[in-house]
Amino acid sequence: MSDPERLLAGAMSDVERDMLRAWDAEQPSAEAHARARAIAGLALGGVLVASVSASGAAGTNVLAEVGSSIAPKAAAMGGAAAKWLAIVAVGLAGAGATAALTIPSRAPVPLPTAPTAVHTFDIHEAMRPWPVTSATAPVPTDYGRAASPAPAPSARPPSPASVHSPHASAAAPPAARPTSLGEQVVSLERARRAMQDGDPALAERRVDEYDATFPGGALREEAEALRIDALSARGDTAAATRVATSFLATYPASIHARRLRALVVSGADP
Amino acid sequence: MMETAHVPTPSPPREGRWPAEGNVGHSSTRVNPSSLPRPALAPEAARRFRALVDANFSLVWRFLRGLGVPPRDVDDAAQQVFLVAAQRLDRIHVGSERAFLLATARGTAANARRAHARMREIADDDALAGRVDARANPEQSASLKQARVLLDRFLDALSEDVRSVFVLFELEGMTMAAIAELLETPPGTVASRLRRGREDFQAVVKRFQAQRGGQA
Repeated sequence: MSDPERLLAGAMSDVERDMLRAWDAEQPSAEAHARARAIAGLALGGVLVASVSASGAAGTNVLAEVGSSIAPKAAAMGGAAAKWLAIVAVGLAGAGATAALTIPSRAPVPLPTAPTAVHTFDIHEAMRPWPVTSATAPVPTDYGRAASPAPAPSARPPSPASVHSPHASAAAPPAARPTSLGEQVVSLERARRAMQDGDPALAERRVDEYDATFPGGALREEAEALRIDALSARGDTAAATRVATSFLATYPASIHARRLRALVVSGADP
Repeated sequence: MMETAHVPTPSPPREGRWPAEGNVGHSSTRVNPSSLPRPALAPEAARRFRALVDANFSLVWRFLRGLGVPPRDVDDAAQQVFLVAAQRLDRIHVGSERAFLLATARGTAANARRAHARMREIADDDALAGRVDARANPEQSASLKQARVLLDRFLDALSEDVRSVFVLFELEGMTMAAIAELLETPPGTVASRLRRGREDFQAVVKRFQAQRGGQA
């Protein structure tokens, strides 16, 4: 199939050209991109994976706790971050519900540090405080293979060995640990909002707070990018260039790299 | 209080589809177990997911916008698409990630459009003005804003099928073959949808020019 010439490549009126070129302004923010990446850390990877694989069914309750512990923060914040956290929290809280639905006869395995949370978690309560925009779209199943039956939805069965092993249970991190990524997102969201509100000095202080509260945090890359934006917005080009140079050395493949290289190049110009 | 009594019995999605849950504006508490994260995915799945986000986030975000998700909702809609992808990662075959994401985005966009059909224009014109202003010099911004509004109106008038093809071909610069594959649509159908989209595009432009000529 040979493609027709694109409209923009052919002769056209100014109106047509403006209409198609107006599309170029449509670009997602780096923050939105970073949040989508963070879904992996919150829902599937990082600390959570460690606790889930170490403690099986108890791990799913850890997820439920993360969901419900993020919820009040999200409710308290309002705005975009709250909505996003709510979406993630629902996903995480739902993981606990899956366990409850699929293994109802199994008593929840108490967590070492927060056993009551396991018994008091209520999916309805967890989901009630915020209007969640989680209208689930029709989702294609089993992509890339035509007529393969979709497996029945169920939680992955916990490994009996890991569930009943006291060592595995003891090895699970304290329940408070997995919340830190959600807290980091909240913390950085404050910095991002300060930038949006046109207060780069405040944004920089927020980034400082982030660094102090979460040394070596998972969102350091995003925090540093925000710092560079804040320095740049304050007019401190020299510092912005210096931090950006160091940033590029540390995160050469970052989604911010292209933009920051431009900054470094323009900052080096007299 | 019974924690699990109100949660509906899980039923397998029929042909992978189920009614939308948790509609906007309602604090629905229904949970569809098949749409929830699988908590025990291996770390390499998280790596795969991040790679999938990096390769497709911009496209998915813009596709959502192209399908009519308003600016204030598009970040959430994109998160929703990738959250679904994270939940169902083990069912997405390698090489089919983009097709999965675009199909999910189409469903998400349809929901978002329905939910916000009534109050779309007012707030978004402001948001649009802000974004366009940031990227164009002042003398350009008025005509660009007008052009963008016109583009939105044109796209809004298209059927979703025609719209998808027009957005991917004319705005995203994909090849017809790629679009046919991604939308799982025969090439001839893609070509006819593009033709229809272009005819409508010309018609909208003619109408606009006639109106402008009439006002002058």
